[in-house]
Amino acid sequence: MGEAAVAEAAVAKAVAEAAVAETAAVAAAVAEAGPRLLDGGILALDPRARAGAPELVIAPGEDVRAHGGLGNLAVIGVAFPRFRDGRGYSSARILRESGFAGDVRAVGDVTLDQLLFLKRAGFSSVAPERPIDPAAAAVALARFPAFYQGGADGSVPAFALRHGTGSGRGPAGRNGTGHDGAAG
Amino acid sequence: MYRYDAIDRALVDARVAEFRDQVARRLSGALDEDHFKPLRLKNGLYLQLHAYMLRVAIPYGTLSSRQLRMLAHVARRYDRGYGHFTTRQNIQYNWIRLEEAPDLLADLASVEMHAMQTSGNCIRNISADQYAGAAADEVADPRPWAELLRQWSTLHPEFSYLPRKFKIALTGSAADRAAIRFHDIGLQLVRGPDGALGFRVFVGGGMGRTPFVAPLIRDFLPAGAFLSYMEAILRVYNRFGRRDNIYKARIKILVHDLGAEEFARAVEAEHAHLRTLGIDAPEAEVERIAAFFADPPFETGLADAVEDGGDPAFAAWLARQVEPHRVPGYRIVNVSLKPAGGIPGDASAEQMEAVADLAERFSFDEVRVTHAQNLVLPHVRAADLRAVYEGLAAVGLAAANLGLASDVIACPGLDYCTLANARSIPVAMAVADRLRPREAELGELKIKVSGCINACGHHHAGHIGILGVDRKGTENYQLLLGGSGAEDASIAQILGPGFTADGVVDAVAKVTEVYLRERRSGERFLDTFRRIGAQPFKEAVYG
Repeated sequence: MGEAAVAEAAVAKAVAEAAVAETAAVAAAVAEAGPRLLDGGILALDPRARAGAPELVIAPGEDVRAHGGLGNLAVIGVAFPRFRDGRGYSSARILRESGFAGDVRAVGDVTLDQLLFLKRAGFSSVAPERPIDPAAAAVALARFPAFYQGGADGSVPAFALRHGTGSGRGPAGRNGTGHDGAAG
Repeated sequence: MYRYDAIDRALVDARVAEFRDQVARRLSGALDEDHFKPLRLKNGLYLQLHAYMLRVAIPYGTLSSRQLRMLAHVARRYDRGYGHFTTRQNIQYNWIRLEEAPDLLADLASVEMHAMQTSGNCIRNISADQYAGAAADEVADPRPWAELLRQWSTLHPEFSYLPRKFKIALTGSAADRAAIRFHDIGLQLVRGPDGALGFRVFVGGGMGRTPFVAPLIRDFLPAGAFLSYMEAILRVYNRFGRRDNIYKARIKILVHDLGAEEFARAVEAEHAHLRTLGIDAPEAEVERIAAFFADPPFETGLADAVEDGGDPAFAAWLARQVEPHRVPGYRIVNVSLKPAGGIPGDASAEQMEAVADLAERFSFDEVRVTHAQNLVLPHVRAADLRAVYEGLAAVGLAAANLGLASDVIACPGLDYCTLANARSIPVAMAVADRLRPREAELGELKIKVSGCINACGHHHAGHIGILGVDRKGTENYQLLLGGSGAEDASIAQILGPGFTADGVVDAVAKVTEVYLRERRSGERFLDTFRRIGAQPFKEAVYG
């Protein structure tokens, strides 16, 4: 393996470990709070959810990075005029990657079947056009025991669970003993 | 082969349970068709002309015997006793009942298979060189990277509602058997100047109504930055790809509109940020996955010679279907799914089981599916070739036509598909029948037939391409020449006005006559076309 690749791998490793450590705390907080209804039909997905209207709503075609000083806002809405338009997922993740710790709310045509993707992309609440039953939401959000990718909701990637750097979420347990080691 | 661990298994099982719930809500009316459609598509289920069609993912075209037997079981239990292998190394079943789909998916899950993301506007099943791990010309095995991509792209939180479908292909050889430059992302494994492993990254290839050969956007991507770079490409696409027009929504349009350099700059800028976020799999994970693709226990010291025993049919099969293997004493066997009178890519349950048995006995339990809709037994001892040949012949799969005129690629066309404007299967079969008597003389000739502009039959990449269109309510067929899906990728050009179904078969026969007349020693049809241009062919067909 060449020098560049070694350096590249070292960076990736250090970064992965830091990300896992940082997100573990969030994951624990998220896990204890199931989805619940707030005033105005808003469904809270995690403890970062806040009551009240968003101070800013980002449209699908809007560049979320063009906005400055968002850190002072309590609630940022991301509009979903049509559920098939997935630009809002990138907007939410970019907000979380930039360190925004308030409520990121999906507003519009979002239903039960998008909740899990929304939550993992960093949304902490949804304001759906049609009401979503919190009990059904709880089932949908708890259905998958693990994911391959890390999430902006604090969930860790499967590779972190497998190699013992995970937070203990998922079937592999804390030390990532999940795989059978079956070769072939 | 890759084997599921507890995480992989739990994920697929949860997906089956989730889809069971979604189907129940759809059948009860709680879920409307508009909101159900993307959910069923992402589970591989299309509503077609006659019934639901289910497309099952065959990750990077690799199957174990056990999995192939399950595909045979599915064909019997849920379909009409056969399946159709596709141009993206998957299998489709055309006669599925919605109520039974969850049970079918549960059966697949029992052999570590699924239908996730085989349709819909998401990252589709990853395809790869069918000779991976066996090819004599391989730089590195693409399968571990393909598996890493399969996992990374499955239920991705950010990229599950893309502007349009997204297809990724990998190869580990300079010879391109996976048509990588016709994919949204094409990846070629290479060694850097210091011997380190990395990728050449091509983005924005595709077929459909605006075909493009993908430009190179990164000459050497270090393997350690693989996933974060894929993430950067997808993020740029998800944010800036067009969503106002379904025909302009693929990434090829974004890359073309921005220009490859500007697109690459946007990706590099996003990557500089994303690579700091822990997206790349640690080396231990790459090694864990790679271990599943370690060599099977090849024997050493085997005799490498093959005797045809004076049997001309066996000799022809050896010459056509068998390729060199990187280990002495072994060969790669191509199994033709293009028998005379057969539908391209179709296999019966009995044929699938026969190939599964042969793989178990003679190919370390491995089968591959190719984008040309054939099968491969990747690791056969030279000494076992006769037995394999006889086993294939017993189920009608011993045709010796790999890469020849009767090895036609065809989409399902109007016989099955709601998108189609014209039938493809009967035209493909008629062309094959017409040229079969002279196909040995014609040499390598890749004919590809699509029944509509969406180009599932890869007509843009055919040495000879045929495109079925609807012209004032009747089926009309355009003839295209000069395409290639290989490392010399090019887009076929329309020769002139279209034809009836019979007329296009005649026209194909005429262009092959021009080739035989004009060719120089060693030239394939494609080489002659490139040298002399379209004019002599036009004169022969329209003159």
